[in-house]
Order: sequence, then C-alpha cells, then structure tokens
Amino acid sequence: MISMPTPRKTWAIPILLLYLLLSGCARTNTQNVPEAPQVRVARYCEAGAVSASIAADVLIELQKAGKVTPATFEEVRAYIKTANAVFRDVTMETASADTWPVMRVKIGTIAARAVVSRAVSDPALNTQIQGIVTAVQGILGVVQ
Amino acid sequence: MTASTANLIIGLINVGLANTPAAVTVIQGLLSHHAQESPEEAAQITMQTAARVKTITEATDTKLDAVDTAKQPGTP
Repeated sequence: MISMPTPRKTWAIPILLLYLLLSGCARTNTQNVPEAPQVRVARYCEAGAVSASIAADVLIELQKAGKVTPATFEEVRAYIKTANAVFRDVTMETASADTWPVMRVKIGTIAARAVVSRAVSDPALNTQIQGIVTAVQGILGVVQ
Repeated sequence: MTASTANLIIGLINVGLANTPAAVTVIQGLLSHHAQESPEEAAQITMQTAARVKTITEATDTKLDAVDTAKQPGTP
C-alpha cells in the first residue's frame, strides 16, 4: 500500500530540493573559495624559499666549475640571502596575531626589500632566480 | 556558518530527513565549505609554513656561507 506523505514530510520535500540546489552551489564555491590572504602569502614564501634553495645549489655548482666570477657569485648570494630573510620575516608576520589590514602593510614593506628586475647570465640559475622573483611578486600581488 | 544555513540544517533534522544520503551530502558540503574559512585553520597553516620556511632558508644560507670565494675553484 502506498501511503500519502504526511503534511510534515510534504513540507520537507521543497526544503530537500532547496538543499540539493544549495549542495551544487556549495560544492562549486568550495573549489572557488580563495584561501585566506595570509595563507596565500605564506605559500608564495614557501615556493620562494624552495626556489632560493635550488638557486643556491646551482650557484655553488657554477662557482665550483669556475663558471661565475667572484663578483657575480657575491651578488647572487647576497640576493638569495636577502630573499630568504624576506621569506622568513613575511611568514613570521603571516603567523602573527596582527589583523590582516596591519599584516598587509607590514608584509608589503618587508617584501619590497627583495624586488629586483635583472636577469642572471646562466640560464639554469636565471630560472631559479626568476622563481624567487615570481614568489616576491606573488606576495606583493596579494597585499596590493 | 550563517544563521540561515544553520536554520536549514535544523529544519532538515526536525523533519527527520537529516540522515538521508542526499541530506548528509548536502550538510557535509555546507560544513566543509565554511570550515575552509576558519581563522584557526589559517593560523595553523601559516605557523606550520613559517616553521618550514625558517628551516629551508636557514639551510640555504648555511650552504651559501660555506663557500669561500677567495679560494680558487678546484683547489683543495
């Protein structure tokens, strides 16, 4: 025997349909919800730190092979260390108790220290330096 | 979670439909959607990332500092 839905359950059917509709929206939104800005900044810093580590390896190999002048080595080493300090300081700031508006200004000031716009002659090294520069630009893009 | 979302979930529970597979899927979707915005989670991610970045960058600095440019390459 087929029983008729009670008024209580009849009322629930539109609710369920609404939920199914919202379910689709929620799932779509879940994929499109941007991360918190400080999390995005922290991820850029981690990517930049990894690029800096690889750049250091490439630089050291080039130096061992006598393919970079001491002046170039010093210049690139100084840049990598500056970028590393920036990534450390910026991630420390993202983990601080500051509010995002305060954090945003501080991060912008710190990241500006590692802005450069020059290429390095060795292609392998240049790729990694560009990785660092891209990370810095990513950070600045989030805080602007 | 917004008040309207909470009310909808409570409504489903009240009419005995909250444990149907479709409703469970919907509720999980809504809850996970809102969980991504949790400030506590963001704080945890940034703290963990800061610790990893510190480790990576310090190791990089150490290996760069170990290079003596005054020495000619290839000499012991």
